[in-house]
Order: sequence, then C-alpha cells, then structure tokens
Amino acid sequence: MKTVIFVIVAIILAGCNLQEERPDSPLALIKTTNPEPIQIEKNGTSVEKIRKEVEGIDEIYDTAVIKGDHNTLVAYKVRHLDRFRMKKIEKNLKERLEKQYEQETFVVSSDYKIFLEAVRLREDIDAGKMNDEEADKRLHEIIKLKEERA
Amino acid sequence: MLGMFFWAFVIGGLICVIGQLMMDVGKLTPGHTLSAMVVAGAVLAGFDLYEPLIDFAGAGATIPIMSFGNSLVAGAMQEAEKHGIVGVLTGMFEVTSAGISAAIVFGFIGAAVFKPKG
Amino acid sequence: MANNNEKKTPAQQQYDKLNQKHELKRPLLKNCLRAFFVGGLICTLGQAITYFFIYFFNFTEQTAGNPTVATMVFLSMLLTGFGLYDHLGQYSGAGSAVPVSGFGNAVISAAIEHRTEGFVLGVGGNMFKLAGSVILFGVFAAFVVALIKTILIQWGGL
Repeated sequence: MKTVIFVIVAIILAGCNLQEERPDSPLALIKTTNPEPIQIEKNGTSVEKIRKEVEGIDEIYDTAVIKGDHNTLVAYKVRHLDRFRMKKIEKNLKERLEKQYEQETFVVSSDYKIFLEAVRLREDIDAGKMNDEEADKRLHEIIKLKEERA
Repeated sequence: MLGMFFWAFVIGGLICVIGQLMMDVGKLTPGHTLSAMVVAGAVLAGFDLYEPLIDFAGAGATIPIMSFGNSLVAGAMQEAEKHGIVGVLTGMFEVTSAGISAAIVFGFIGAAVFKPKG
Repeated sequence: MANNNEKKTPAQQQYDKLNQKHELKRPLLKNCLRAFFVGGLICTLGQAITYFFIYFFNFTEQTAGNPTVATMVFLSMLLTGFGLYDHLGQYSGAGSAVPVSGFGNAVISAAIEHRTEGFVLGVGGNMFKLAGSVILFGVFAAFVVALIKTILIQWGGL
C-alpha cells in the first residue's frame, strides 16, 4: 500500500520537474506574469487601453492582449473562487469590450492554455524569431485552438 | 494553477466521500453507487451545475465517474442545438467516448498481456 | 434493501438484525478519511496529467479532459494487471472506485479474469459485466435529461 502512494507521489513530483525544465515561459501558469500586450496590427485601438480596461475588472488578474489583423485576443486568469462564474465573466467581458471598441472583433478566453500560448508568442516575438506576418498566423492558430470544443 | 491542484484534491476527495457514505450508510453496492453517481452527474448537468464545478475544480470534477453523466448530457445538448430533438440520441457519445473507448482498448490489451490472479 | 423485510421469515429477520449490528461496526470516519485522501490524490494526479497535456500538447483546458481520462484508464490497466488496484480498493473503498480509474479497473479486471474462456465469449462477453450498469443508467439518465431540456428550450422558450 505504501509503495502505491509512494509511486503516485513520485509520478506527481516527476511531472512537476518536467514542467520546470521547460525553457520558455514555464512558470506562466503558476505566478502572475503580466505579459506586455502585443500589437501586430498598428492602427486602431491601442492594446494598452484594452489591457487597462480588462484589468479594471475585479475577478480578473494577469491579462495578455494580442491585437492581430482581424481579431484581438484577450487572455486572462480568473481569481480562483470566481471560477464558478467563469463562463459568465467571459460573456460579460466580451460584450463589454465589443460595445466599447465597436470596430474590433474580440476573442476572449480564460483558458490557461490560451494564456500560456499568448505568453509563448510574446517571448518568441521578443526573441526576434518572427515577423508580423508569422505572428499573425500564430495568433490565428491560438484562436482556432480556443474555438475547439471538448 | 496551484489553487487548481488544491481544489482538485478537495472536491475530488469530497465526491469520493459521498460515494463512501452511499456505500457505508446507504448500504449500496459499488455498482449501485457508481450508477447513482452517474445519474446524479447527468441531473446536475441538466441544471448547468456541473460545468461550473469543472471550471472550479478541474480534474477534481472530471475524474470522478459523475462527469461521465455530465459529458453524455453535454454531447447530447451540443448535438440537439444543431439537429433538434434527434440530436439528443445521436450526440450522446460525441464527448464521452474517451473513457469508454480507453477502457475497451486497454481492457483488451490487459487481457492479452496479463494473467488472471488467484 | 430493508424494504423487503415482510417477505422474510422471523429467523431471517433475526439474522438481518445481527448482520446490521456487525455492519454498523465498520469504522465510518476512517473509511471516509481514506476515501477522501486516496480519491483526492487520484484527482490531483489527474490534474497533473491535464497540465501535462496543456503544456506539451495542443490541448486546452476544455479539450484536455479526454486524453487525461484515457491516461488514467491506462494507468489503471497497469495497476490492475499487477494486482495493485485491488489492494488499493480494499484500503480506500470508494476513494479508488469513484474516479474513472475505478471504472477502468472494473472493465479491465473482468476482461483479464475471463480470458481463459476465450477472447470472444470470455473477454468480450464479460468485460462490461460490472461497468455495464454504469453505462446503461448513465446513458439513459442523460437521454432523459437532455430530452427534457431540449423540449423546454425549443417549446418552452427557456
């Protein structure tokens, strides 16, 4: 019996270690990252403004904003005790943003995966690995991921 | 994210305690208990209560067998939105197949690889 | 089970009473604590696997559930095959039965047990002996719930 528990704990610990060895953005989900917003498409609303707007909401901390040619992705984390109402918060935020910035199309997500990918994209852009076109393509892939249903 | 682990532990543990109480206090067999839990999961899904629990507790809500009832209802409702009432029947296994197909495949492999004990 | 008392002879009723007295001695609190810890640990492991799929594969929180469940059933196959899951079950009761790995264990142990009767009649025929009722009641309950909800939405304007 003790061995079983030991094995389970060992697997969990091994899992954590694997994650820590990951070079890019390994801690994005554990701590508050507050990544700089990305503005791929330079005209129109500034991403800083959108980010401030989102961070003003009580239930939300840690926001990543990426503005592409067609869509603006807003990824954020919800305070844990508010996660019960996560879907409602998402809907409200989308409505609010679309009312405020009518010319933009928003993709809003509280999914950890979307947040993680947003941070990874930010890091790749900072490292100078991609031009605007490639970044926009990556953004589209992230949005496609978001639309996938279980 | 660390909060996720904590709540997965607590909620998952509590659901198992409910199962234990059904077995010990309600004197149900494990088969009855699991069936009742799946039905309970389906009913909770009907009131849109199971999804928020998954948002909150992650694997603490998806790993217990109750989530089987929830995902059956979710699949049926998803399909019903598209095809109306017929979708209820056809969409049921849309989401759920993972648990059952994994159990079938690994069960078969297990039977081929392992020898019966005792 | 107590509601068919009338059909029983006095001797049987006496036996039931005796039976109950002994059954009550099962340590409820201890059972619950064990179920809580083991069940909680299994779910925590599931959470770790979910994050594994989110980090290293293209799964979101929404879609990572399926591969997680499949992985849990796979682990349950290994534990069942080596005879460890039964020990775990004896220790933790519902703690290892309620998670999906318990469902996997029920299917897989039945499959292994009946292998000597052949793959078609033995494995195929007995695999769902224990898990079949879970699937039956799950599917039927889901059907009823989804049907009522669809009707309410379509004609009730819910």
